[in-house]
Amino acid sequence: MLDSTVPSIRSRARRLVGARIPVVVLAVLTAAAMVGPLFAPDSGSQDLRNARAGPLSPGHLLGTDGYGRDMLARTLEGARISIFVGVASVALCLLIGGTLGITAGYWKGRIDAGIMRVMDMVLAFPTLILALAIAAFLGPSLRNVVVAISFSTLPHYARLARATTMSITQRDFVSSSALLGAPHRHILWRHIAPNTVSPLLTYALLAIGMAIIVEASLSFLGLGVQPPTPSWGSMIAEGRPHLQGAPHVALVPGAFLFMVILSLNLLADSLRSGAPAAGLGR
Amino acid sequence: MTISPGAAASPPDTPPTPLLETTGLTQTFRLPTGAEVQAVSDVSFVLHRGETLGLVGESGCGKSTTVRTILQAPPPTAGTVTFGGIELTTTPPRQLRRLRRRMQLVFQDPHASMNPRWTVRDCIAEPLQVHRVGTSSSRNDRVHELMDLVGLDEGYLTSRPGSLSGGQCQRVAIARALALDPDLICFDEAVSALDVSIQAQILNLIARLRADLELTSIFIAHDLAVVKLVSDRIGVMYLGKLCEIGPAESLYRSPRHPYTKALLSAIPKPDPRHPDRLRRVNLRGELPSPTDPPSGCRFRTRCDRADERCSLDVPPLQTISPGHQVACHYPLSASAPVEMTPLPTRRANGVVGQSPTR
Amino acid sequence: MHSSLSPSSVTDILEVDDLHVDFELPRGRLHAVRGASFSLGSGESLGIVGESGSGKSVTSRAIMGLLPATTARVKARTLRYGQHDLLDAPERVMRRLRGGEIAMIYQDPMRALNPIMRVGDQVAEAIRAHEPSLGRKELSTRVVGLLDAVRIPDANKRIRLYPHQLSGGMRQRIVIAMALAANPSILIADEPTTSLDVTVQAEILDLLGDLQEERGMGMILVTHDLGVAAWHTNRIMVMYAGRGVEHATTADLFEDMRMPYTRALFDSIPRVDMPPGSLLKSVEGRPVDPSNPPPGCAFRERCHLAVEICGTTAPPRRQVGSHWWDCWDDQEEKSVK
Repeated sequence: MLDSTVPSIRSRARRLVGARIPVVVLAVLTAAAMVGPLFAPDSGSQDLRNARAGPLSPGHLLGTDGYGRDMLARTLEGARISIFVGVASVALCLLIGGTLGITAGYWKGRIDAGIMRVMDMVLAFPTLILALAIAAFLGPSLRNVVVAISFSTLPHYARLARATTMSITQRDFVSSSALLGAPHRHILWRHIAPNTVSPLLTYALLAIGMAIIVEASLSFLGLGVQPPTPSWGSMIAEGRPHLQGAPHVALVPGAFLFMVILSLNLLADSLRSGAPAAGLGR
Repeated sequence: MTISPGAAASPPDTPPTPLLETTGLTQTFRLPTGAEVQAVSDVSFVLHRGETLGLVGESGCGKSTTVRTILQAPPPTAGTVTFGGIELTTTPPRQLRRLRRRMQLVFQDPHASMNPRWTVRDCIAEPLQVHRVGTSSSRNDRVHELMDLVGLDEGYLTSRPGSLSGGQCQRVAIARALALDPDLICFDEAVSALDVSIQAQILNLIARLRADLELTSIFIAHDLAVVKLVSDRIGVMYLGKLCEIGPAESLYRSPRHPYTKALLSAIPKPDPRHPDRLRRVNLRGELPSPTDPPSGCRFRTRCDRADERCSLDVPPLQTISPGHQVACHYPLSASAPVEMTPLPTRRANGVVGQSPTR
Repeated sequence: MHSSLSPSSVTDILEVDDLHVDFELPRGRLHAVRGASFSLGSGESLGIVGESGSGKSVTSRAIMGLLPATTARVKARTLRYGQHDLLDAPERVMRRLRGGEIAMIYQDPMRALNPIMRVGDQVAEAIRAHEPSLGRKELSTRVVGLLDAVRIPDANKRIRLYPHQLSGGMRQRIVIAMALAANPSILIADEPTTSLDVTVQAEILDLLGDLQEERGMGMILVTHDLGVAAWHTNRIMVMYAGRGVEHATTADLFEDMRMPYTRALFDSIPRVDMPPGSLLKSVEGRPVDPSNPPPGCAFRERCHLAVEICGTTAPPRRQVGSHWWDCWDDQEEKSVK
C-alpha cells in the first residue's frame, strides 16, 4: 500500500536541482569549446613579448604560456579534444561492449564463457597501463588515443551489459514473450536492449570522466595528441617546469579538468539514484 | 499409459477430442550442488477441447513445472506431449515457435509479466506483431476488441503497466493471452497475488470467457476452492507425481487419495457455522526433500495407511470410476466421504468447548 | 463508544480509540488509518480483517510503535496497554514492552530470522533479551522447552540448524517460539500464514490458537482472509479504507453481516462447496485511494445499497450488543441472509 518505490515528482525535481549545477557547468563549457575558438585569439599565434604572462593581462584573459600563446584559446581547444575523446571512446565502448555483454548474457553457455574470458584478460591489466601500452604501440594520434581508451575500458561495459541482461532475461515479461513464440531478434531488440540502455548510459556518463582523465594522462606523457595541438594533459606537462614562476600555465588546464570530472561525477550520481525508476520500473 | 476420456467431462453426444495428451512426462533438473531433482515424474493425462483442468498441490509439488514442461519451456527430459495431434517434444524449434500462437500462459505476477517501458496497447498487440497477424490498423481494432472483452476502459491503452492496479494488469495479461485465439490457455497462479475482491472479479472474468469462447485451459492455484470454481476436472500433485485426477465435484466430495483428503480438510472455511467445517486430517512429518524422494509411493512417509508395499512399489494411476484415477495402493472408498466432525466454534468470552484433536 | 465492545467479564489490556495514522510522503499525505477503535481483553483473540490498503497492518504496527518516526504521524484519543500510554511512552519503555509484553510475528518468517545464525541461538537470544541473568544450561533447557511448545519435533537436533535448512512452516514456528520467549500478554500475528501452504497454514493456525488459550494471551490476528479469521478468534473487526466498518463476535458476524462491505468480502471468497462453474458475487471497482479518501462512506461507490447521503456524510455507527457497524442503511428488517 505504501508504495514508496515510485519516485514522486517533487523528489525527481529535487534530483534535477541537485544535477543542475553540473549540467550548467558542462553545457557552458561544451558551448564555449564549440564556438570559443571563433572569438578567442588564435591558439597558434604567438605573442612572444607576453610569454608566460599571468591571467588577466591585456588581451589574454587567462594569460599566456611559455610560447606566448593565449591560454584561454588553448584551453578551449583542449576542451574540444577532451570532449571528443570522452564521447567517442565511450560511444564506441557502449556499442561494442554493450553488444558483447548482451550477447554473452542472453545466450549464456559457451558464447558467454568465451566472451567473458577475453574480457577478464583485458581487465587483468590496470586500465591506464594497458591504454599506455596500446597508445605507445599504435603511435601517438587522436584516433589511437580513442582506440586505446576504448579497448582498455571495454570489459566494464560488457560486464554491466551482461549482468543487466541476465537479470532482465529472468523477468516474466521476457519468458512471456518467448512463450508467445517471439524470435530471439524480437526479444533482444524490443525487450532486452531498451532495458539495458539506461543502466549503461548512467555508467557511460561516469566513464566519460574516466576517459578524459586517461586521455589527459596519455597526453601528459606525450602519447596523446601531438603538439602543437593543445590538450589539457600536454598543457599541464608543458607548465610543469614553470610551476614556480608561472603556475597558471599548468593550473588553468588542471582546474578545467577538475571541474569537468567533478561535474560528470555529480551528474552521474544524481542520475544513478533515479536510474531504477527510469530503468526497470521496479 | 492412455487414459479413457471422462464421461463427466463432456456432453455425451459429441465425442470428446483430446487437445492435449501427456504420457510419462518427466522433468529432471540438476542443482548447482550436482544433485538431481525430478520436479515432474511420470505425469500422464488427457485434456479435451473446451475443458479446464485444475492442478493443485502445495508449493514444490511440480504443478507449475508441469505446465512449463508441456509448453516446452524447457522440454521434458522424458515422456511425450501431444498437442492437437502434433508431438511437441520432437517438433523443430522454428515450427514450435509457430505453434506457440496456439498455446498461451498467464503468469502469477501481472506486473512482472509486462515490459515496464511498454504501453498497454504494445503489450496486448505483441502477440499479433510477433506472428505478423493483420495490418497495423486491424491489429489496433483487435486490441480495442480485446480491451472490451476483458472489461478494461480504453483510456488505459496508453498507460504503462506500472500505473495499473494488480487486477487491471491481470486483465491486460489475459487480453494478451487471448489475442491470437489460442487453443490452450494456461493460468499459472493467475489470481493468487490479488486481493480477495479483485480475485473474485478476475475469476468471474475467466468463468465468463470460458463460457463465451469455449476455452480449453489448465488452471493452477494453491487455493483449492479457487481451482474447483473454474475447473471441470482436477489433478492433485504431490512431490512431482500426479496422485489423483478426476471430475471436480466428485473428487472434492469423496477424495480417494489420502493426500487429497488431507489437503481438502485443511482449507479454512470462511464460516464458523458451516456444517463442512471438517475435522482436519493432519499430515505427519514434513515434506521430504525433492532431491531424495521416498521409494515407492512418495506420499508414504506421511500417510497413515502406508505399509511395506507402499515403500516397494510405485502405485500406478488406476481408473477407479469413469474419468477418475488415483495412484494409491489403498485408496479410500468412495462410499466413505470425508469425516464431518464439526470444529468447535469459539465463544465470545474466550471459553472453548473442545480443542481440535491432532 | 468503544469500551462496550468486549464483554464485561474480561478486563481490557489493550485499548485503541480513534486511532489515526497519516504518512507524510513526498507525493503527499496518505491517510492509512482514519479512526480505528477496538479493545482486547486478556486471553481474548481478535481478528482484524481487510484487503490491502485497509490499514490493518499499519494499525498493528502503530500499537507496537514500529512505524517510521520520520514519516508516520500517529494520533489517537486512547492508545493504551495496561497502564501504559503507548502514544507518549518513551522509547525505553516501548522497547521493554515490545517483545516483552506485546510480541509480533510477521508474514515472512525468513525476514524475521538471521540467515547466518543457528535457530537455537536466535531463540536463546530472544530469551536472554528479557532475562539476561540466565545461566547457559538453564537457557538451553528453555530453548528446547519453547521449541517443544511450538511443536517442533526433535528440538534438540533442530536448534543446530540454520533458517534455510528448515521448511517455511518450521521457520514460522521458530519465529513464534521467539515471540513467546518473554511470555508476552499480547501476541500480534500479521498475516502469519499467508506465505504458507494450506496444510501448514492449518497447523500454524491451530498452534497459535492453542498457545493463546494455554497461556491466556491476548491475540490479534491480522489477515486478509475471513476464513483464517473465523478459525480461532472470539471477535472480528472488518476494516475498509482505514476504518473499522463492522465488529462482532465471530459467531455473530457470520450469522448476520450488516455492513455491505463485509457481505461483499464474504461473497468474494470462493468456497469449496460451490459447484464448479459458479460465479462469485463480486463487487466491481477497487478500494479507495488512501491519499484522497472521499467524504461520506468510503465504500459507497462499490455498494449496491448506496444512496445520496452516503456520499456526503460519514455513516452512523449502529450497535446491537457488542455488534456494531457503520452504515446509513437501516437494516433492521433486512438482516435475513
